[in-house]
Amino acid sequence: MKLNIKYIAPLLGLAMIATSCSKSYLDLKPYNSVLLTDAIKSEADLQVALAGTYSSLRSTNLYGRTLPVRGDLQADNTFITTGNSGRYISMNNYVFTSADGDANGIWTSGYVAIKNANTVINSGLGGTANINQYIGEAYAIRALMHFELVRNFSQPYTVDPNAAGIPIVTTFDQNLKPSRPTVKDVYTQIIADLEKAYTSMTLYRGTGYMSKYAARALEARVYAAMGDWTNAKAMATDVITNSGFALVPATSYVNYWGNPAAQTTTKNETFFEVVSEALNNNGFDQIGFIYLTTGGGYGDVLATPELAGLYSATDVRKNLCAVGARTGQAGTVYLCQKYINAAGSGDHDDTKVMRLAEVYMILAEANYNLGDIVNANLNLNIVAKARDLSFAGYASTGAQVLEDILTERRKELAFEGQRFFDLLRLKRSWTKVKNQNPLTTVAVAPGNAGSLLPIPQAELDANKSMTQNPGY
Amino acid sequence: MRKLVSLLMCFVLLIGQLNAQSNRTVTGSVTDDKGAPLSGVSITALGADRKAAATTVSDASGKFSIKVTDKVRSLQFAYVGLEEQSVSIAGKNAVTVKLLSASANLSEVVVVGYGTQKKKEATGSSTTVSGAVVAEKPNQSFEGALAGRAAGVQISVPNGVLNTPPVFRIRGTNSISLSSYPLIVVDGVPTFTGDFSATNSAGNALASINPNDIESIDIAKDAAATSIYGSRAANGVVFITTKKGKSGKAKVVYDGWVGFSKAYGLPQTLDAYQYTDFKNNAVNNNPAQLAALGANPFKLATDATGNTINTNWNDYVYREAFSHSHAVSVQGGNDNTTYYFSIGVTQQQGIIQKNDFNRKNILFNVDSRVSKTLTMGAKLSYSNEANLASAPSGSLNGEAFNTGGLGRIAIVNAPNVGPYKNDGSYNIQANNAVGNMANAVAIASVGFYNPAQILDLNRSNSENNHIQSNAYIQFKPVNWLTLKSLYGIDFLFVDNDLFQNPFHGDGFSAAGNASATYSKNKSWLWTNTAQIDYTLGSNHNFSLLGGTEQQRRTSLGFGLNRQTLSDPAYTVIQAGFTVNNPSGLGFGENYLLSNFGRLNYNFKKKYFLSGNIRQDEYSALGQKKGVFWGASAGWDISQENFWTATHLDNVFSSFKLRGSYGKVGNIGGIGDYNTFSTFGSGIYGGLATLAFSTAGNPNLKWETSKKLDMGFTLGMFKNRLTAEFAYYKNTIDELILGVTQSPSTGIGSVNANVGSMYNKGIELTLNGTPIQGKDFSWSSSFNITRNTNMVTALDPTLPELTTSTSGLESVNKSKVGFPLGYLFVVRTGGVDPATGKRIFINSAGNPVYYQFVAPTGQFNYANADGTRYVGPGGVTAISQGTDGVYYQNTQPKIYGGFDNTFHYKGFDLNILLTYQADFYVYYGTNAGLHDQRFWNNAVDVLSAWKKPGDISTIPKSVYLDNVSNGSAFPLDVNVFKGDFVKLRNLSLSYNIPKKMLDKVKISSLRFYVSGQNLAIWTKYPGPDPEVSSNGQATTGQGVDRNTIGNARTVTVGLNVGF
Repeated sequence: MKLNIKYIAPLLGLAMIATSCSKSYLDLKPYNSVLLTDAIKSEADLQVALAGTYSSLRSTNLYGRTLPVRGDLQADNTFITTGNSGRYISMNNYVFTSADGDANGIWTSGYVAIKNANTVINSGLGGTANINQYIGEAYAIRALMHFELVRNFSQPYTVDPNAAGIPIVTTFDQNLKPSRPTVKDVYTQIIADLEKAYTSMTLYRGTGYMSKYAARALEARVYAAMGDWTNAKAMATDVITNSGFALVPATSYVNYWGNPAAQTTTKNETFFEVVSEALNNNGFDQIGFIYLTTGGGYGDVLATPELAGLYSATDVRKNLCAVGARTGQAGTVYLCQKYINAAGSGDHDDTKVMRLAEVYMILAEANYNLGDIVNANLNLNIVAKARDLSFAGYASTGAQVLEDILTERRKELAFEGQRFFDLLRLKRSWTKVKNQNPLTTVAVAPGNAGSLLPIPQAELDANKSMTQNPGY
Repeated sequence: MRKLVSLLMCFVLLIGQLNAQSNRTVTGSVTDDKGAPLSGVSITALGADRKAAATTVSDASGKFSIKVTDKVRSLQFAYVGLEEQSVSIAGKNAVTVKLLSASANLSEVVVVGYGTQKKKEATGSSTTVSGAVVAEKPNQSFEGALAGRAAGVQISVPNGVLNTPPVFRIRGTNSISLSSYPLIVVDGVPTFTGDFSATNSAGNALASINPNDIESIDIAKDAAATSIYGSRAANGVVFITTKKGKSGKAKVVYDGWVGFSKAYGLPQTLDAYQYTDFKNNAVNNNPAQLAALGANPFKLATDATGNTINTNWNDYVYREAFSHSHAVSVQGGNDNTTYYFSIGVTQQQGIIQKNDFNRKNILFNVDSRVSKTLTMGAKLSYSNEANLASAPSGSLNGEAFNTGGLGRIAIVNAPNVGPYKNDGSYNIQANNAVGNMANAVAIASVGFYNPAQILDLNRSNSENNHIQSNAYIQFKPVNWLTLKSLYGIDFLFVDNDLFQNPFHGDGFSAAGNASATYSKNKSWLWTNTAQIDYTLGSNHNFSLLGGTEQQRRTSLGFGLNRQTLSDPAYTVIQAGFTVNNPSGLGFGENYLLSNFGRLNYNFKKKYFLSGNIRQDEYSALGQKKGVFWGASAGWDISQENFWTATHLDNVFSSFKLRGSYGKVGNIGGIGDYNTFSTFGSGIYGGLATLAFSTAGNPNLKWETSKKLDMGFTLGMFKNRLTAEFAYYKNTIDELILGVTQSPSTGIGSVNANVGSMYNKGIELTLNGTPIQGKDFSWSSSFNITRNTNMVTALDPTLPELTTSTSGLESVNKSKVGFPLGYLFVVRTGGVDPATGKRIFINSAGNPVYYQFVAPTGQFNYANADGTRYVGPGGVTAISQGTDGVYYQNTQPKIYGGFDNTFHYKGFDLNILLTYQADFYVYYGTNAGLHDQRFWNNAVDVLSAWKKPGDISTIPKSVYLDNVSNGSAFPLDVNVFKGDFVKLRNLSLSYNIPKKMLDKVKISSLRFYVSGQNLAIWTKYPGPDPEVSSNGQATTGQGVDRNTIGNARTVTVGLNVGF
């Protein structure tokens, strides 16, 4: 081969030029994730983004574990055994620092869910029943998250509606440095969102999704937390009358808890639950593992004998707070059996967020507070008798009716994270069991610093508009 | 830039050329080192003043003729790629000159980016290491053998798992969140670095280069030497040059060795008798446990033959390993074409059972001068590396607290149970722990996994297929101009194969677990350069380089994870499983487009100036385009007249001052899409989901490193003693850190250029030949580096940066005003002689007495008077968060090596000592070795406090106590000085005399025996202070948690040439 400069020089020149032809390679976009700017452009996109919003509720910090655990652990329902995995110790001891991981987790994940709901709500789409439904569901989720945050981080509405609330976030802004509005402002926003949710939604997509009456039932819970019994009654009545939901009968109640699948068309008991599946679950951080001592569970959180003692022998719910064993824990051990599908490769427990039984009990409490003792007892007995077929029914008068309602709420909603907030909104004092055998306790009275989670240090560091709760 | 060049040109032209009277003719011939005639050699006649008097060029047969005046004393012969030579012509009219190939004399040439430079003309700071020092060693890749070989270079091998990438730092740790690994350029093509294995084996990408194939390693350190690599130069640049052929008869070399390795310095733990007594005593000291378990629950067991079971679990985890390696190379060529061809096979066993490294590689380098002006060449390299393991060693980054970590199991499992039951089956129990045997304690209270079972049945392998090839064409139309175009590919394909049996160990909870993942990492590079080498007059030497380069990398990963094995007889992923999950998914691509230039100028080889500039555009950045540069100057004082006039040259044969400054960048390890805000996908209720997951920073840019370097090089006594000294300071700004956003925005952190840090220090290298005799010689090389690292800015919203070890223990913190990765621990005040309680020191400096079990009326944490301890903020316990203090530095401030070679007749003895000093290591393993749960303990627990008055450093043993000795939070008692001196390499070789070999037609034969890590001098109590639980982590060095130390290896080999 004869090579000549005449041919080589242009070749090399070409090589130099070629280099500048590849500028398009410099603008590479990810192929395996979607850019924010391209994400939601159609009804189908919206549905997918909404599903993403739901999946953020599955976080271990939210309904995946922490929220339902805290509502019982900081009340008188559960405690943490001595030889534990180190989780939720600060809740059990009522001692938090502003760096507390669980407080930070609830806060961070709560606002992640709110951010995700906002991307759906503010998508700019509209016009079809489906789109309205999806946006309505996102409103309900946004309301639910603000509600969880305000009751975990701020004074109860019934204690001081003008206390510092939590930031209301309704749009996404990376550089947002929000301050704290009043608790009342937050509740106003929550009610507004739930009303929008109620009017926007027309479809029932199963218990894994928000629906018209899920939003209404949540609204009943919100009004109850505010002590606004007139509205609470109106909401609860609407739900009971119009939702088409029915209580699960006693005979299938244990199975109802043992079934990890969400309902798709039926309307039994559950208005809304956060779905965990065979493939998408929190693994060892699922709620079940914190309660179970078998199948690889930590078995850290045990029921107090006081709670277990409330169930009569014929109460079907006794099976959900059953006698078990826990290494290192002396005495009789009671284990929560509401989340038993934690191990293995099959479907996993969903976390029930709102159930019909609670609505009946809200109505009972509303009637009590509005002076209608007869209906209060009537509403309460619908639940009590559905769980204990041998129970004759409550027939108390006066203040005892409220105590009956509280007891029944405690029995029915045990391990679902409501008890603590009942005690707080009613400004009760109680004894929190830190450990059983030997018994150590914390006396909790209204105003106890450990009842309010600290605003996370990370928020205080990054956001100078934020103020800390008293006591931290 | 252009302005500068034209100014220089004008300056040069003004000086003009000297005309001299010619009055005689000198003739001669020039050949290369093989005796082949060289044409085109430029020949310059030099006068006494070293000014050029006349020039000519050799003809096609290598002949020349030049007219010279009587003032001319010598002729200078220069040819690109060959060593320049001066020949005296005093009294001679004919000379014959043999020019040696430049690379034949490594001390004279240094590889710089896109070319080479004569060392004595280089003004940058770089160190050349000969390939010979990394060859014939039982290392999987070359970096491990670089330890102690070069000033400023710190190599720490973090664990004893085969093929773990060493921690490789040049002049300190130069990044926080990005890579601190130097850029590795192999034969002109930047290659992949790091561990590419996705399993429990380690897969260093650089192991594809057979160390025997390396000609030289050039380590560029300062801005002058590195800035030609612009945005990737902040961590230094390492140029690997593989061997090329030399013309002449084909030369065949076989090199092979066999090696034997074993672990050293393993912790001595209690035997079965000591364990049983000790733990029973601990149970006695815990009333609740005594009540629950009864007295003496720990019991000896007997095996099938009636002997007491006394297991040393080390016997089942470690092994005496055997390795062997073979390489054959053939090289040769004629005047126009040369080639180097080699194949290598190595099979190496690690000290951990089932941990193997097997490599098969092939390399073919060919260079051909097609015509006078045109050269073409190519490199073909393929390597297959199998990185085999059975179970996690517990030593790789993230594994420190693995229940199945072999290093941990070996010291945790009780010695009074064995791996097999008396019926021969594995001693395991239903809850996935080693079986209790005779112990009457709760299940899972005698150990973690049974290592014998998981080692037998599990697999955690990774296989790399690495292709590194390139081709170039070089065109030299005139003597002073070289045009070159190089295209290279670097493809790294990784196959991961994992199987965990369903009965026991990591596969238990999933009822059998298998993964097969595949990742494709592909890179191509196209470089085009033009180089002008020109001497104006005879004094102004220019070398000007300009070039463009583009590099594109893509990565793609996919795979399958399957769980719940349908039949335990299956062991492969293709078998029956019920759960299928996607695994190992990955996608990325990036593109780097660059223009660069370099100007080297020297005047009379006395004054040197050099400038490098590079513009990079990188796809992954928000601000894509950046300009990086480095400038340097040097002054060879020994070339000055006064030097010789004052007779300084009698002592100092050379003396050069140099200095450089420049700005380079770091983009290593930046995510491909960090500038974008993206949605991530998932599943909810069986439906696809998208959730806004990552907020991007559209303004993201490279990290900036401003490098200052000043130093001198001197030679004494005809260069028998040379010294190199440098002072450097790397000021690193715009470090990329995750900046925490207000969490209520719903996003976590956004990467931004906010951090700052510096490394400064001094380096000194001394090379000498104290004895140089006919039969005996001794050459010695010593280097020392002192580096100071300091963080000067972090995320403004975060006061400090915490680095966790495997997500469980956080002992490293980084803070402004401290070096990276400072140890943050709780202080202790010994053990109370009256009660045997551990004394902690709280944040206020007061003693706090701790007991794990507090009798009624007493407290776990008490003041000296026995009252309940109430600390700042009302806390009643000691915690790391409240009471931890910034305790000690983890980065060696001083490190280096001392290398001695003794030569006597055919014998060569090489002794390499490496050392690191002035740093501390958190020996977390020690916390485990004193943990008072069922865990086995180090023998020193036998001296624990027992009765009032005992003076001990170890508190009273109370069963289940995990606080007193540092398991619950890190304590100062487990922090030790890491300073060490290692006998890294000791090798003795013998060359059979040539006259004996001639009879058997062998050209060379050498036997060698060498030992690695034969001795270590340190006060560190663990196996090896060099280890790191956190691998390459920039902020997590100095932590030894259950890490398996390095091997001690002895190899015997032979090298034979035909």
